[in-house]
Amino acid sequence: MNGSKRTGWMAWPPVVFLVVFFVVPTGIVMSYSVLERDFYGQVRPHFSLDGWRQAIDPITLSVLSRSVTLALCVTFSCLVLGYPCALALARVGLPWRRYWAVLISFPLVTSLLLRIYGWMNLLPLEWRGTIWAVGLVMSVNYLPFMLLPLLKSLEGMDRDMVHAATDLGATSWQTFRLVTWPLTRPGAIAGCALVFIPSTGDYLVPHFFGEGRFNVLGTLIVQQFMERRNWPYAAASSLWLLALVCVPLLLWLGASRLHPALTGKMWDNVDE
Amino acid sequence: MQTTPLGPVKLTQPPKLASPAVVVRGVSKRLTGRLVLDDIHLTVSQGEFFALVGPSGSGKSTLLKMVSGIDFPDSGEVWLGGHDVTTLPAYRRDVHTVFQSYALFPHLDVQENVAFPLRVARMAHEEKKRRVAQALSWVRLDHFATRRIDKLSGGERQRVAVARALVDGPACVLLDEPLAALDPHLRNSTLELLQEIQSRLRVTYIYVTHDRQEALRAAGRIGVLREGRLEQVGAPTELYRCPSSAFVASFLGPINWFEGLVQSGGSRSIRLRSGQHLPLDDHQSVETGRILLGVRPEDIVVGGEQFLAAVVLHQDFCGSTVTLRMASDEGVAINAELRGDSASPPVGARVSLSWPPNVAHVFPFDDVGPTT
Repeated sequence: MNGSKRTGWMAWPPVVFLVVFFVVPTGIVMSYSVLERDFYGQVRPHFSLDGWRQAIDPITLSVLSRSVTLALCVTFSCLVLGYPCALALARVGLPWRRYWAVLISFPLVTSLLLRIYGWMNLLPLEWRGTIWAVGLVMSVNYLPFMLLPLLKSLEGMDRDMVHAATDLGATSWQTFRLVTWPLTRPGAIAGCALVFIPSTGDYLVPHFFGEGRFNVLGTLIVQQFMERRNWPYAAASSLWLLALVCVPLLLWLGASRLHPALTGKMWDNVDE
Repeated sequence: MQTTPLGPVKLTQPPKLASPAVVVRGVSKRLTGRLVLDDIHLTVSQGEFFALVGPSGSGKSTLLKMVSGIDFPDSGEVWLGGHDVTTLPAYRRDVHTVFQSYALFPHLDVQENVAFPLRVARMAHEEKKRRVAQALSWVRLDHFATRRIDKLSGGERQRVAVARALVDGPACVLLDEPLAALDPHLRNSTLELLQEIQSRLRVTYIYVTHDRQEALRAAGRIGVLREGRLEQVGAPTELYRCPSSAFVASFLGPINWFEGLVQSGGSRSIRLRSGQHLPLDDHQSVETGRILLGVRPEDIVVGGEQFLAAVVLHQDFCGSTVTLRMASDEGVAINAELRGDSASPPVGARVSLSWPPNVAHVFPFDDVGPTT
């Protein structure tokens, strides 16, 4: 293989970046989680498992389960909202489809804080402090992350597949269930991962819409770092977040290894 | 209960005997502003092998979509087996299509692909298995049931697509250029297989192709489409020997065209640009004006009588025949086809050309495009 030496050399900058800005900070967080908390809330260079102990107590676990449930609900609603959107958009001809995709993604380039304030003005007052409002705003916020991979997957699917399915007697629902869904599952899984991972650690939306009435992982970590000044506990909770993110990532990697080429495209003809 | 080659089939209505398989009545379709189909009238009988030919963009695939229900006409009606299906969606019509790209489902293996129409019809498992095995035997893929689609060759994939379209015994199968993506030596055997299946199952075929050889060989009747209109419909011999227009004559085989003028009503000759005259037969009645006189290469007689003279430019040896490429004094290119074993004049020789009576085709002047 000709280029392997050269490409090996080109891999160094991202690796260095990853090590400096991810591996090292994670290492620091991990080390803080097993140190002792001092009087002023910072850490003493003294080994202690207090941080971890607090991280597995019932309160933390309930916050954890709430975060996971919220993230799963947000992912599910993004999927349910995003799929019909993507299906409709896939039928629109170019270039309008691109314009619509840009329009839908536009909110992502604006400040999340501004959008949250916008939503706060839009939603009724009674909705504040409820986890439902938080879930709603999160779903709307993360929708482009679901929509774009889904759209890409749908576009990659050979249009003839749908025509063939209809021609052979499948109703619209049957076509979706037997053909479209299996062939675009990689896109849906990608979208779910892209929504679930940030949702587990979301801070701003639960903070502003929750009005402090309940904690999710993101608000817990910030609270423990900033207000309660319990850094070992906060660091240990961050490790929970890391674990919550890594598990679906690994599942996603494993799933894409099993279905590598299911985008619906026809392969090149093989000569007889 | 009705017995078909596939076994008993329960019908909700007694079939109307002798009702044609497909009737297209006055169908027109406009796509992106262009009139793709212009008032098409067509009737295909049950069990018929009907070929639809025409140059690219003439509307062949669009017409197939009107019949299968994937797209709908702007005006006109489509009738299948005596029922008006114009507004019925594709999944309610008893017609299946073999797509040019085959459109096999890559996430299913061969037998799951073939079983697809039966699965959406919620057929029982045992019956499904039996029919899938039967369909695979028709296309000679008996031992391919569990193969994955990406492991098949082009010819095998095409046969899976055919099996899938036949498995639930539709009244009519539409084939959209099925041999286009295959190697030439494979096309012959695949076409023979398709013909064999068609005659054995007595299923109606509407076969779209831009290859005139396939159509002439296999079809019972051919329809020639030109820019959305059906120029002529008839048996292959009829279209070849008695084309109704210069376009049809040109499309169905190579032909030499001579452009000229008929100067008066009773004139028995046409006058070429060079002043030369070519004779017209008694049975050919033409009006005055510009006309085209066409003679097929196999009808040209070299070295006999002289209607006109030409110089031999090239000899193409084609196995059983030799094609002489010549140029007349006017510079008109003329091809003659001789038997491979006959003595052919050398390159550079000046020869005299003529043709037997009643073989020339005469048409009003028409732009027929490239003649090959």
